Amino acid sequence: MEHDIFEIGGKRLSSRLFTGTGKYGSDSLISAVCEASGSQVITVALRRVDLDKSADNVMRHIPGHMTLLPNTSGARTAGEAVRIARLARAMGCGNWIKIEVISDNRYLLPDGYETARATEILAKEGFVVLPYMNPDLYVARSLADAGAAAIMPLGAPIGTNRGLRTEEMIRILIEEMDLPIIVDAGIGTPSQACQAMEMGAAACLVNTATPRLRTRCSWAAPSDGPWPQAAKPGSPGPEPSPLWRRRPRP
Amino acid sequence: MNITVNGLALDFEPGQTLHDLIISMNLDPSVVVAELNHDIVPGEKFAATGLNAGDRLELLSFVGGG
Repeated sequence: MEHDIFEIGGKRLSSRLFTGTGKYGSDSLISAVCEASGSQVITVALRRVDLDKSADNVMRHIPGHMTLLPNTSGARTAGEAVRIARLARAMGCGNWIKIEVISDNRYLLPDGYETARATEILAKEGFVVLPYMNPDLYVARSLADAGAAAIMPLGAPIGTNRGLRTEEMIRILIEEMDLPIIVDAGIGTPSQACQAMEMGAAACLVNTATPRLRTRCSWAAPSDGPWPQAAKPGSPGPEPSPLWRRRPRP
Repeated sequence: MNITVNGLALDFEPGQTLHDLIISMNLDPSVVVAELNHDIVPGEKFAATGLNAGDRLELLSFVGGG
C-alpha cells in the first residue's frame, strides 16, 4: 500500500506488521515469513553464545532490508536493559531498541517504572526506543516524556494468543497519545490483528502465533473480500495479498 | 593463561587478540559482540584488543526473540 506510510524514529514504513522471531522450530522459516508478509521490522534477542555447540545464527535468515528491533529480554532492571541495548547497538545493526524489563516470571508483565527509566537513558543516547508496556495512560505519558518513539502495549500476556483482553485500555492510549501505538503480545489470530488496526493502532507485533500457523495462510491484509482460508496441512496455502507483499527493489 | 569466557574458565596461549580467540572458538566475528571486563568491545576493535590472564569476557549474539 504505497499511500499507507507511517513513520517511526525517522524511518518510513509501509507494513503495519512487526515480526517476532522467537519460538520458531527452525530459524530458516523466518525469511519465508518476511517474504510472505511484507513485514519490514523484525525483533531479535541478545544471548550469550553457547560455546558447546555451533548454533545456526538467526541473522543469516533475516533479509537485509528489514529494520532490526533488538529487545532487552532478560533484563530485570533498567540498568540491565541499558546494558543489553548498548551491546545490541555495538552489533552494528542500527539503533532501534525494544525495551522489555520484566521481573515477573509468571505472567511476564512489564515493569513500567524501570521501563521508563531505561527509556529515558537510552533515548538521550540516541536510541530509537520502543518500550513494551502495560496499557496504562500514566505509564504511557511517562514513556512519552522519557523520549519513546512509539509505545507497545500488551493485548494479553506474552505468548497467550488471547487477543485484545486490554482493549479498553489500549483504546484510551490511542485516543490520548500522539505516539504510534503498536500492539505487542497476545495477538493470536489475523482477526485480532484486524481488531487492533480498526481501533486505530499504528501496527501490531506478532510472534507466537506465526510459527503456530500450520500453513502459509498470511497475516497480510486482504485487498478486498474475506480473509484467505487456511489450506489443509501439507498444501501450499493461498498466496498472500499482493498489496502487502514486499515491493521489488529498483 | 586463564580467561573466563561466558562464565567458563578456559586456557589460552598468551599473546592472542580477541579476534584470534573468537576464531579459535569457531565463531564468526561478524555476528558476535563482546564485553571485556564489563566494557563493550565493538567488532572493529576485536583485532586490536589484546587479552590478559584473568580477563572476564562475555561473547553474545542475536537469537530469535519477540
